[in-house]
Amino acid sequence: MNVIIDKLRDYPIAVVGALVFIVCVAVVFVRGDVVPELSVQETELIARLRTINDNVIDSKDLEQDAESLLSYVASIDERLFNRNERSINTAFFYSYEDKLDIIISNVSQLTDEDPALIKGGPNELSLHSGIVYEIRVDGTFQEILEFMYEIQQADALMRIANFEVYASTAVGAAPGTLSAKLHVVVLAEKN
Amino acid sequence: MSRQRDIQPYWRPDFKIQSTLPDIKIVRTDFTINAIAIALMLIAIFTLLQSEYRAYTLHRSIANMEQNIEDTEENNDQSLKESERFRQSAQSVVELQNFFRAPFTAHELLAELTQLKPTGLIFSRVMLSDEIIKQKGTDQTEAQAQMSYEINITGDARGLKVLTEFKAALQASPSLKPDGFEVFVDESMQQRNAKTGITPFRISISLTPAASTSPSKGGEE
Repeated sequence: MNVIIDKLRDYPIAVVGALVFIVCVAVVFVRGDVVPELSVQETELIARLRTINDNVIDSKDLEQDAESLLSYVASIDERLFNRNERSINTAFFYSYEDKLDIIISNVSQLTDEDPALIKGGPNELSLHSGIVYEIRVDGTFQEILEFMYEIQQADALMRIANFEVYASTAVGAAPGTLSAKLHVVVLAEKN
Repeated sequence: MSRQRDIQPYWRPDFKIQSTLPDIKIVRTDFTINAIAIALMLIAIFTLLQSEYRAYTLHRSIANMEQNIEDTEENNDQSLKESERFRQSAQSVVELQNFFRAPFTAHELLAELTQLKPTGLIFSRVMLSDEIIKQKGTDQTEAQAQMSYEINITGDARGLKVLTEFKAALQASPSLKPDGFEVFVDESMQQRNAKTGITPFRISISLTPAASTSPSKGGEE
């Protein structure tokens, strides 16, 4: 032991150097996890900051756009049919008799919804629903075409999903009179 | 030469105490040991300082970013609320688009068919019907419900030539070739009336969704 101590005494600088080395290695070892942890934290914060910055860029004029969109939505909501107001809804279609020179022989609100608009359908609606009306109209080709056009252009949101136009078979119908059976789908409030 | 090889060295005891003799190596041992020790110490100190400096800069960077996030958090929350409000409103508009999604409007289709009809052809019935079909995309994704349409026209033709003309006109009409649909026109005829020369006919126009890869949905939140 004395021999070793004597030897160490011969190299005081080397001994001090070795001690410092050991202390430094110990400190590096003990604090070894600090830098990786901080790096991970930094990466997370960078990602979060980037998201926030992207949000800031994306939200430019967002408030005005949202207001503008809300006014559109309000406009849509104003035009929706109410499924329970059957008489009002039916009267809406009959009102075309006054506007156009056609005879609407029947308007019936079908109980089944348009399968395309229900859950799982290709045009599924979640905020609204669709009411299907079967409308039977008699008139000349021009009159029926005009009626179909007016339906499409109506303030209420509706479209003709399918139709059948044929030569009228009604007794006493004037030559050239056509009959049409239209399935009109109307955008309505959610049930 | 042979005389020199015969001479024997004079042997004598060596009384030198090695440890007391001065170090006469070119590079002295204590210098080498000290140099190695100092080099190791310097490397260790450098590594430690580098690691500590990195930790210090990371601390500062993190503190700055946290401050930035804190400053913008309120605005960001507000933006997210606006974005959510926008998204909900947009859903209504998207539904409106879905509601009106169709390859053509009924009155335009009827008008188009009438315009294409050649003289000598009389329509007795025109019908548009739709159907939901399940069709897989080319990438074999789950079958999605899609709309297909069928237009049926029945009537009388004065001669088969006009019927052929009409069929060709239907096939050439851009209005009857909407994007995303495959169109198939088929005709069938009944026996010609020998007295009037009129042939009852039926033309079917099928519009089925064209097979395509599923569109990507949505974006990042």
